[in-house]
Amino acid sequence: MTPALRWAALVAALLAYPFVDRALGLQTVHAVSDGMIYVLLALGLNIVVGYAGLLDLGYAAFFAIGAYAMGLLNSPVLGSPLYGYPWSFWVCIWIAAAVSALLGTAIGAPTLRVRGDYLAIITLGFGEIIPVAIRNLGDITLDIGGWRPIERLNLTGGENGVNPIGRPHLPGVPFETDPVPWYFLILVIGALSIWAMTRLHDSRLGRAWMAIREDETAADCTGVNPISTKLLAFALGASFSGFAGSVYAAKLQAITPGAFEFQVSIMLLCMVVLGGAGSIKGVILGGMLITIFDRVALAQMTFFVRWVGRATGVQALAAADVTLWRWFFFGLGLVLVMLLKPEGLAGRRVRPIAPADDDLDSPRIEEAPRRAAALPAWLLDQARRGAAPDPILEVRGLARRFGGVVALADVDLVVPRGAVIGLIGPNGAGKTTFFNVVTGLIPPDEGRIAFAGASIVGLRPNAIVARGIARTFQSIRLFPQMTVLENVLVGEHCRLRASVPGAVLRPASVVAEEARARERARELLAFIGLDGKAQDLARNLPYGDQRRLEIARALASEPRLLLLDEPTAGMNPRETENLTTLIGSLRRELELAILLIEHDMEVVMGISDRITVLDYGVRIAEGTPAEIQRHSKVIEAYLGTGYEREPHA
Amino acid sequence: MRVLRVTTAVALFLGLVGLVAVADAQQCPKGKLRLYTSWPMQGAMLPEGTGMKNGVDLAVSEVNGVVAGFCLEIVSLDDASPQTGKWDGAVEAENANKAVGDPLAIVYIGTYNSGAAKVSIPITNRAHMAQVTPANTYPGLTKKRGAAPGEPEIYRPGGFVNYFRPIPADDIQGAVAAKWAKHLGVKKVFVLNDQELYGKGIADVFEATAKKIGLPVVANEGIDWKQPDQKPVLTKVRASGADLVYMGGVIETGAQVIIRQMKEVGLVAPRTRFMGPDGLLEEELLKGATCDAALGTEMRITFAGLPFEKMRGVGAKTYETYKTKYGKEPTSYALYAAEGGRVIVDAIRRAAPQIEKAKDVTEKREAVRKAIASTKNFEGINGKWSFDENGDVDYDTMSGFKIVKADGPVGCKFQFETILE
Amino acid sequence: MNAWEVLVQQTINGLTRGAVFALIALGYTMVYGIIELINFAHGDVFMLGLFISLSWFTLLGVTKTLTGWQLLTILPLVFILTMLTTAALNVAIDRVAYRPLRRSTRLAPLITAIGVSFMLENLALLWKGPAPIAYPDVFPSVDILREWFGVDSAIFVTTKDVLVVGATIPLMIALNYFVTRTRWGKAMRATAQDRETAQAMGINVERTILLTFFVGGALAGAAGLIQGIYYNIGMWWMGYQAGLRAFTAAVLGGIGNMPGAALGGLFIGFLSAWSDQYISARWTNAIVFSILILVLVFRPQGLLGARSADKV
Repeated sequence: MTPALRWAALVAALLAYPFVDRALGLQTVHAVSDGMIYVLLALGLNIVVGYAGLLDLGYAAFFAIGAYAMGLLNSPVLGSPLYGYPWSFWVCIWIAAAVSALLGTAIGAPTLRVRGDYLAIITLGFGEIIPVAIRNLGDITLDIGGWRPIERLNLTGGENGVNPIGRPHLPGVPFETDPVPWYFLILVIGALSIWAMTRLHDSRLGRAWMAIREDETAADCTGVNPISTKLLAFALGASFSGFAGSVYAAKLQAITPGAFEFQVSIMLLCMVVLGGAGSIKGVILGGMLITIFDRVALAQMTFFVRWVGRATGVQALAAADVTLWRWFFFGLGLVLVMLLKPEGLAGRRVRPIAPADDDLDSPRIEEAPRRAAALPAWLLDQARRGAAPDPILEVRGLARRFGGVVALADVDLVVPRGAVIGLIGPNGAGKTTFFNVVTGLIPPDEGRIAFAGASIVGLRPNAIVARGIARTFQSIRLFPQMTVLENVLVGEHCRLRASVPGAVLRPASVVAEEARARERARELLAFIGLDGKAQDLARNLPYGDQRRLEIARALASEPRLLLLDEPTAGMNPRETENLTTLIGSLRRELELAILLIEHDMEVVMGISDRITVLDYGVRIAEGTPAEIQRHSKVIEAYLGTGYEREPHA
Repeated sequence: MRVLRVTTAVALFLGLVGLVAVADAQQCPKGKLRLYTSWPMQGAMLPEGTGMKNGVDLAVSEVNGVVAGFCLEIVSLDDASPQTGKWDGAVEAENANKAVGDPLAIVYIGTYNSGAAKVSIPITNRAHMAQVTPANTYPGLTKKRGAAPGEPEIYRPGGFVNYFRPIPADDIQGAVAAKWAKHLGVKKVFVLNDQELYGKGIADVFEATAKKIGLPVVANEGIDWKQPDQKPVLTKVRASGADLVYMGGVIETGAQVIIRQMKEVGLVAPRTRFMGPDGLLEEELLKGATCDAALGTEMRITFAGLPFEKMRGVGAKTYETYKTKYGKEPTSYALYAAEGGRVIVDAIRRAAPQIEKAKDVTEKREAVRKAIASTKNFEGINGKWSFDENGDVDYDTMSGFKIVKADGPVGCKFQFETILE
Repeated sequence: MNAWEVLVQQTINGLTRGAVFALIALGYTMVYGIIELINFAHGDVFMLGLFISLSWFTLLGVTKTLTGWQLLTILPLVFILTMLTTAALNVAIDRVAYRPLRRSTRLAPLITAIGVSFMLENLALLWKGPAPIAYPDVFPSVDILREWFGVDSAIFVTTKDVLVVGATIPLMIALNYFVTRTRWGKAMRATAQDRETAQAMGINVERTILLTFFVGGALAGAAGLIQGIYYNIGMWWMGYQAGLRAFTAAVLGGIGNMPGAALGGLFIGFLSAWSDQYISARWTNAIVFSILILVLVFRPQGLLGARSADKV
């Protein structure tokens, strides 16, 4: 069967199902629709857990908020100002999603700064507070020494819940009595959600989420704003939950605070983890498996075990109730999946982007020299468009202490336009700390950092990347589970503009932008000599390729200053030579300023215009390579042996 | 390939869920009518669920499964499931819809939990299907007293009564308990509740009645029943000087903890006593709370209706039949399930001509609903009663129990003390 | 009771509550300090500690209040047996569910921890049934002020209150001695600071982790036993709530910081008891968890300051 035919079969099966069910008198449409609501919820959770890698243990809270938004607007409880003025389902469903997203943002904004496991606990705490609040807000009495400004105020219906909740009205569609319209309503919402999620996943935003999941610091230093990106995932996940919650409330017609407790969050997490976090198909599979297990398998197992018990005369089995073991099985499922198949039943660790129209394996590219001399034209264009100010980077009196340890003290460093500046010094001299301060990872204690004439002190790393400083890391920090191409595309993140509606609806401008981004990434890979490996996972590359990929990723952000942290470390002489040539051509053709930490003295002395030497956080020398080689303090710092003795380490 | 696999998986999913529906085809000359039951049938609720099912079976078997030529068939559904293992609104809605969608279904028997009934009543009401509960006691399901605003009309989208309970509601029990407390000479009550529908509802009625009859109530406080440590709350009770703790709750929500720890903070009779509703009338409670503590608080419990062994006439006979047939004591609501079953059988018998004449299933159901609503002077287990215009029974016989020492492994038991009106 | 007596009584309630939280919090904080895992199942080990100690009492034939020499022999014996059992359980959990994931992402063991927690709770439900279980009055309860000192006060201070404090403080002192003075304790602290360096220095890191789980489990068992004796009731669901509150305590004190965990436990104890009295028991959970969130957001290093900065 062709893919189109298979899709047609799937769609036909989904469309025909309720009528088949009716013809056979199975009456399963209600159960299936309810199961689909939970799958929809799990898909929303997947954005948070699977895409962005944030463990959310209180997801049911957003479900509750969606459901209560629907309930309280659509069927206001007495005492609410809306009483007697119910709003239409079709309006409420959007409000519910918006309210959930808003609360997701409100909860997320302060909490997303904290580390992953702390975030999990915060969401869990939030998930505990919401049902308590809903329960208690049904009966509020404020008693201040006998004075009661508020007495028995009912906002949420308390433990009674909201009941009954009005159903949607569409002329001629019997939502009141028939489950089939519900099935189709949920099917449509589900299909739209999956469509939107798939498009988000394959967009600039999807790549940013994955980058954050893989390595938050590296993503930050590649131009992805971790806070807003995570917040977006949180808000989007919450809004899907809001949709699901409002449909659930309207379908059930009754909601109580007890329906949104911790167990619901865990069951949804089970669905995501079991199927495979990050994979839509996996989550759907996980959701179906758990629903079947819960609704059918457990009950059938009880019958079976009892039948075995009666047949064999084992009293314990004959009276057994497997349904009592439900949570044991869920827990066991979580443990086993994490231990044996952490990527989930349907998850594939490799998730390459579908190849775009131009053929990767075309002989033209195959025959191209390993190290293409041609710099991508667009980079050249960027470089020619307006000369960079001079100096490009000016650092004055920079100081940074860690507790009692002085990492940097009163360091001055100037990078003129188009210059290659070497930064050397023994281990622990503060070179990498200097990079970290300049790129915004560590705030300075004192000093000024001016980039292109403007201070960048206090900016977040991603904002600094956007200004035009890109960097590589001493210990390579690629996004190991993403493809080579995707790594470079993340580098372009801060130069792309597609927003959520753009990523989902894909207007012509976004399609063009994405095509251009891919084209640029391909050219960069060709330039760096990684063409043909675009679809490999970054972690599968050989060491030297990984170093070069990191440079390509940095270049993709269109920097005006490139910070390279020991780019030749671990490379063989041939690779080192290639890299030296590459740096040379960047500087020559792009007039790109480069600040270089390097231990290979031959490299540093060969390509640097000027060199700054740090020792114990203090600048002990500055000058041309020739001056540095003769500098007494430098020789002293390197144990009085000079660079000829190759101070590797 | 993947799509195909997904398609297969979807088909399997839909098919497997379909397995739940069970059908058999026993032919009857004058047609078949189905009675659907819906309450939790698993976990801790399994004994009570089975007891109630036995009760319905008993009523149907008394007429050998045939009424006025119609075969009666019982379809037993479970409304506990997924997320919590307790009753679940989604499953209850599904059950009710299943019943409504079955052209042979005539009456819906259920639920056990009042919260579940809130979900199913509007569904059965739209289908003109009568719903009879053996156990729901939340007042708002049928009447204004002890109800939330808008109840009970919100459960009757059709504007008529289709929900009937052959068991007195909590508003009666809460009110009777407050009067009993006053009668016992209580001066000041501290009301606690477990913040659940049943517990909070009955506690609210107790509080309102007590205030009305001049029995001071210090507070009506919701507790966090998941806490194993209720000493701070009980210290609060002690500080208030109340001489009775009334706790609205069931045995699953921690009344044991309250009773057990009352002794620890010095809340013992005659200083402070304990009273609770029939949700606590289970031997299980005494195991957790220990007899020592329960006796220390002179624990008292109200019960809607008469104790089984005090029943006379029909009640006594039903009690004996049940014991012979199933070989054990009936659970708390088993005999009320039998009562409900008999009411239905009686109504079908009276409505038989209309059922035969009915053009469609809705008319059949409507005939039975009307017949049930007009049940008068029914010979029930607690004596003769009729349904009032709300679908409630018109008797309010309650009994009061008190804890006493007893032989046996537990060491104490609830003993009938008095009939409360 | 006048207002002062109420405050004093509630503070005593908070103290005993907090002492139990503190013991559980220590287990959280130790494990987090050493392998940066929020051991979600820890609260359930505490819950099982209560049921296991009950089983030991039953096995030893204790159903009534212990007196005299029995108190001095059987009670410490059950303490030791329970602590050993829960310690072994905790070590087994680590072996099965966490150890294979040592090199994995940070969230993987947290998810298995949640899984284990659910399994333990379900097992306890199957073992003891859904309703709360009575715990025998093994420890004599004497109203100290009235019966020993003849003071007629509205405030109750019983021998049980003294037991809770009297059992908790020596345990904490012993733990502190163990961690700061013994070779094993030093290995634990070294591993917590920098696992690789500790390994390079010849410390057997896996054995140290095992030891941490052992000690944490033992403390949770002791907490379970104390809880049983003091509150006389146990239920299968109490591990989750107690665990969350204890975790809040650990976070409050700065996770990884042992004195901090103990103080945090007491603080949460006082706070929740006062909240029960002066606000309402139904809001207490919301208040405790709000504090958890606020501390994590605004002062993730805890109120007592940091253990160490996060490794970049």
